[in-house]
Amino acid sequence: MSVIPETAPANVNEAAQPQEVVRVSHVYKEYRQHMHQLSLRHETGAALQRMLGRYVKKEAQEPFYAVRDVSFTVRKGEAVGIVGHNGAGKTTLLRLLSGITRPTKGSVEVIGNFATLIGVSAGFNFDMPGRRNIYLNAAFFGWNPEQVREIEQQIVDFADIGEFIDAPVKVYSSGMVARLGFSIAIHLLPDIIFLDEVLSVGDAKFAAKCQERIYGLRDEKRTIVLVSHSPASVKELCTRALWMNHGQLLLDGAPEEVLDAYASS
Amino acid sequence: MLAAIQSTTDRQWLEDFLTTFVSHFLVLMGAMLLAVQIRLQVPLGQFLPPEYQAQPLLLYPLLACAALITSLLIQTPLAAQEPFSIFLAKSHPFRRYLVSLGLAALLVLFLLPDVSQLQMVYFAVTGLILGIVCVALPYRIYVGHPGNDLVESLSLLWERRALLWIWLQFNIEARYSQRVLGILWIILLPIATSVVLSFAFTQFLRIQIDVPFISFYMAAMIPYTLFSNGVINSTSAVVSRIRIVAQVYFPREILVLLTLGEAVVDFCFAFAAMLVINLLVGVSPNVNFIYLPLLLLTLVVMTLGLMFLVSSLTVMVRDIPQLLHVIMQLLFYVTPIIYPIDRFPENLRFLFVVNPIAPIMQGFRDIIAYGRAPDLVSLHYSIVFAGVALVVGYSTFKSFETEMADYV
Repeated sequence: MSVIPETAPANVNEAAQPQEVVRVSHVYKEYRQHMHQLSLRHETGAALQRMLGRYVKKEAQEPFYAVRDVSFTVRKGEAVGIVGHNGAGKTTLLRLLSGITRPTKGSVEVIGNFATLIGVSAGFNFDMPGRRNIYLNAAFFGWNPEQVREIEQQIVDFADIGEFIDAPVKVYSSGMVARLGFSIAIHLLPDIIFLDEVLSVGDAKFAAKCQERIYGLRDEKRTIVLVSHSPASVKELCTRALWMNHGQLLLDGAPEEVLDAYASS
Repeated sequence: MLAAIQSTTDRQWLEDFLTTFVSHFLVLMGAMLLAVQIRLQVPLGQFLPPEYQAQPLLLYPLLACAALITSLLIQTPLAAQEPFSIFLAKSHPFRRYLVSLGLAALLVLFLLPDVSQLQMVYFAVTGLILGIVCVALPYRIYVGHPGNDLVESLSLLWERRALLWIWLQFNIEARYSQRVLGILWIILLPIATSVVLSFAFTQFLRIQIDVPFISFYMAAMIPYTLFSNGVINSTSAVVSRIRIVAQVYFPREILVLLTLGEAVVDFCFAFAAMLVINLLVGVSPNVNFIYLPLLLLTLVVMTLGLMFLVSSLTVMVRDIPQLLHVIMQLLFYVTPIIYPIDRFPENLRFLFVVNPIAPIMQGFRDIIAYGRAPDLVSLHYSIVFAGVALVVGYSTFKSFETEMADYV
């Protein structure tokens, strides 16, 4: 079933295949310590339990794996869609890919510059006008103000939020923030872009515009990894799909195949 | 391909060597200085008598040699051999440090026979304590996170410096954006508090000093504000922006540098205001201002080191702000800011000796208000403390860096 481009015989196919830009091998992400905050009350309880351990029946704490033994590679120019139910570890996987958090075990390698879009409103200062926030937001992805100045107008036009662009972001509606955030990220032209459920931002018209823009990126042979709950967009946009279930990679293959299996589960 | 691997191991080697050397040297030097301070109980602001011989300059090269030899030893095949591996193997920083300490003690005793035995005992004890605090503790925290590449993270930081500038500019503008007086507050606030306090102190408490009280007070208060603002605000530097941390990747050091930057900008404005006030009350700039860069650098490095430590620990232990509040209040009263040193009870003077920021504040006051050179002997201790704070703070911060996003 698995039609992963087999990585083994490197010397045979290396020239023909595009370069691997994302390599994930046997990655685990464990969330045990982080499930609850350190507190005196809890720690005292735990210490007591340890002391009385012999008499009290122990409640073994199972480690929780948000991602469990996931391995895959993405080659340049591929558009990979990740599907799965809520809590399947899709966003955690994106976080691991973009270096926001580190795997408990295994290794993640990303070659080239990338932009991550997990929550579109993250990089905004809400007291500042939208137009100036473009510079801050772009700086998160390593852009200098001089570089941003050239594409500023394009971003403003694409976001299309009228005179709100010069008002503080705190007066924006959540849709407007998302539009501006998405517009910035999509114009930064990274080699690799990680998207988390952002295709559903804004109204239908804007969503269509976004989709068109992502098609454009794909045709420019940029690498896209996106998490989506919309089977239609994965099917249309992606050249490959991954199905995550309870932290594990269940299936990796052509979008139709994977989505059919996911739908029938 | 092979060449690339070679160069990375080379860099690893160099980095390992440098970090061992620098950290050991700083800790050893700190131990030595502390030992001298304890033995002599140098009261702050007083100069040592001319017959002072306890600490010849040769001590420093000796300490450096000890650190150098240890860090070289770790890289040799000797470190892997059975009888030595327990002390030199790469995985035991504290034991390696013990080798440094032992070597340093031997070298000093051997080459400087006139160093008193008592001082060497003090040196060994303080060295051990400092070693536990500066080497063993961070290592315990650090376990499981090897291979943080220093060069790589610094170059990434440099690449993203635009983010720091823009963000800093935003934060300062946003802070005053909805005020009627706007950015003027940045100057008005320190002046207003100084005027109020000097009114209170001269009219009600009637403290008599030989320079205008407002100059006397501001000269120490303004640098202290930089320190305390930086450290206190660093508790929220990462925690308050944890949402961004969980969603975007950028060098996390920027969060701390941003907080420091805000404090430094405030400091600059307040400092300029102070100079103007000083001119009005008849205290003019003098030739000793050449010491200011040294004092400022020490202050900023120390603040930054503590900020790295505090901000990363706060992510995990959210009680730190409350704890820090108490500590900073205590620190304020054991630092000569609202009183001259000679008003401080004689039997509590040792608090000045262990308080690393007291010499800096006294130095600022000596230079700006009294127009005399700072007490360089006491400053030694602050300079070393600042270095140690930066090394310990930054390594702690780096070891937590990639986990911060998990503590939302």
